[in-house]
Amino acid sequence: MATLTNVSNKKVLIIDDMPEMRSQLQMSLTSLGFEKLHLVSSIKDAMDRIATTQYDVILCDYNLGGNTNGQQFLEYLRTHNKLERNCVFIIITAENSYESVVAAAECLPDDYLLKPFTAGQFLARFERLLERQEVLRPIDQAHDNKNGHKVIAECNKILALKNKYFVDVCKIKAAALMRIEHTDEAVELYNEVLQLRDLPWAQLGLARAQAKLGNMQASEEISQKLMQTNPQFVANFDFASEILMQDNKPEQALQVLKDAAASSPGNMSRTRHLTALAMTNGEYAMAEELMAETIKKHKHSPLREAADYALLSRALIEQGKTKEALASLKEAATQFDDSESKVVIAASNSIAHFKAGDLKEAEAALNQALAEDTRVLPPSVAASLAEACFTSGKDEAANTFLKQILQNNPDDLRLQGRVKMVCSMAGKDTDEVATLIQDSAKEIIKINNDGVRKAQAGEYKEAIKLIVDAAERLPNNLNIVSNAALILAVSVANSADKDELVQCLNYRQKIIDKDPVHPKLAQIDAMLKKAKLTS
Amino acid sequence: MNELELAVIHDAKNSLGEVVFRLEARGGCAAEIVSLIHASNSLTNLLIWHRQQDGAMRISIDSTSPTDLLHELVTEFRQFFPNITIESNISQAPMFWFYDEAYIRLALVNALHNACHHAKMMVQLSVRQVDSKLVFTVQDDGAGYDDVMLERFSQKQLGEVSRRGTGIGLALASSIANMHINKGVKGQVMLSNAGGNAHGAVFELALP
Repeated sequence: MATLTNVSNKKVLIIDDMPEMRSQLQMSLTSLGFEKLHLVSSIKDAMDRIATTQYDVILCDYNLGGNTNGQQFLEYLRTHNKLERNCVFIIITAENSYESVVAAAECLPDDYLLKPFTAGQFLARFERLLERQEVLRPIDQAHDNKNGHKVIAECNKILALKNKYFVDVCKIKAAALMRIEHTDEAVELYNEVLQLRDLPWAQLGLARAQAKLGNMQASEEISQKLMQTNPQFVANFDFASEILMQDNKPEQALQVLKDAAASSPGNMSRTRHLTALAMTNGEYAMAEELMAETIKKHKHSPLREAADYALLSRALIEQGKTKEALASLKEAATQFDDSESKVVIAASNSIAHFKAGDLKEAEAALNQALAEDTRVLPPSVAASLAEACFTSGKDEAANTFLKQILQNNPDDLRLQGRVKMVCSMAGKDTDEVATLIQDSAKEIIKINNDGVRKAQAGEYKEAIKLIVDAAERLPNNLNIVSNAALILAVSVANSADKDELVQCLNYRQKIIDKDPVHPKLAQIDAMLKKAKLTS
Repeated sequence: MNELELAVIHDAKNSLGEVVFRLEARGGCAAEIVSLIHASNSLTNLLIWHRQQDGAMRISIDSTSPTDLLHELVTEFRQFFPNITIESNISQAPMFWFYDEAYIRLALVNALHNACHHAKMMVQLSVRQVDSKLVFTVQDDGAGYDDVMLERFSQKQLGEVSRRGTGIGLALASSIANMHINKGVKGQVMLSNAGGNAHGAVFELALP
């Protein structure tokens, strides 16, 4: 078959549990000229391959046998940043699952192919995707170069052409405007798109922008209307529940998420969030059911986490089923052996033993958890430790872990919800939680202010020590990390200290990895340029 | 439709898909591939028709390029029907439009199969903007739709077996079009026979 694109050097990964389908796809792609093909039958094998090879195309069947599907796998890869930007991910689906793939708007594949399709059709799609990549490359490059304003400038160039990517590029530009906090302009652009067509993503974008501007009523109205007109658009349910949680209405938030789970079952992060919300509302039986089912369903899937068992065991404990909780934790211990999972399991064991009246065992398990390095923990691990500390009456230690979650993820409303859950289960009232959240934010502001004051007074070393300490403790708090990079850059401009430069570039890279359009990058680079040390 | 019936149909579809790949790799089997794809599409139509009847079918509308879709279809069908001349006209196509591409593709594939099947030697495929609608047209140079069929279609008696086929493809195309609604205006399928010196069936799919 004649091809327009030279595909012989394109690396392709085919994931399908059916051996006949794999070999047929291989034959087809080989006949099209593809030479670098890898075939795997399971998600586990796919993960091993993706860890070592940079693929141009991943062709993944929706139905992968077992209970984890291609959509969930894609969600996992995207949320764990395991996919290269220019890797094209295509889901192959039958007509029955097509709608759920398309409706999962929070995590869309680059394209999908409806079965049956021909090799010719696949090639046509692939060429279309390559063409799109080529046209949007300048935008991607601006993203990679962390330049938010350049992203917008490149978008404007393409928008002026009024070509077939017009609406796609509006979407990218609006998201970029939101990130650099030009929210008013984002509102304008979303409205412009909505003039063309009532698209769900533009409605949701507008709702988010209005919320950011503090226009909560307008935001809520848009989101409510969208729920009625597009009940399959689950991202909107997530947004609505976040807003309700922020508004201290956990019961309503839970209801909204229950509705979302009904229309899009199987989304792991939503199930976890939903379980946590159910616990906050004291619906332990529901939490147990949700998590037990998910764990069973994903029994041999690498998408599970030890924290899922921690949630399940806590739901069991609250219903007085400590024996069952300990049994499920025992099962978890046989499946996870990394240090973080060990902390989670030990902390959960401590709670179960405590509630079973076995205080000695409880203390031993908690000490085992605390013996690991607990300075920088993933939020679910820190939450488990905080729960265990509260249970054993170590409130101060518990608060430290909760503050770590809040300060390290300042804008994450879901995690704020998780902190609220931990506190409410420990019998803390809402005022105490509110104080904890406020204190956490105040501490960060104080560190930043003290650092800036010291730097302005020329006390660079002290300023650096203060902010760098915080940045090491809170590597996800970009506010702190960017200030650390900036203060180091200012100091480098004055002293040309090589160690400080290395440290500064390190933080700068961390910011780029997490938010390539972070507003402070321009300032950091300007300062480094002043020191004539940027590339 | 119960789970067993669904599973059987999916099984059959998967087997057909496998044979398509095998024949493609072998080469020179266009006619066989067409028949298999047609068989598989018929099963897909049936499954989606049931979803539609149960009120479970949902469409997702986003911006997409009608020209790209037409290009894909023409390339594919030229390979399927090497003896039919397939012409496409995109001169009045807009750069982008808003629809569920997978479902509109399915509706057009059904119409194209039908047209290529009944054409003497030529099928014309076009997409153009007419006022505030996007109109896809598939026209063949065959004997055209018979009067009974046109009558039934105008009476909305869809899904009935006729000489030209089961009618389920048309019924489905019609509901897919109807589900595309913009500012209160629904999409629609129109059938007619070419007038004047021209002959043949004209299938039009209009999207607001």
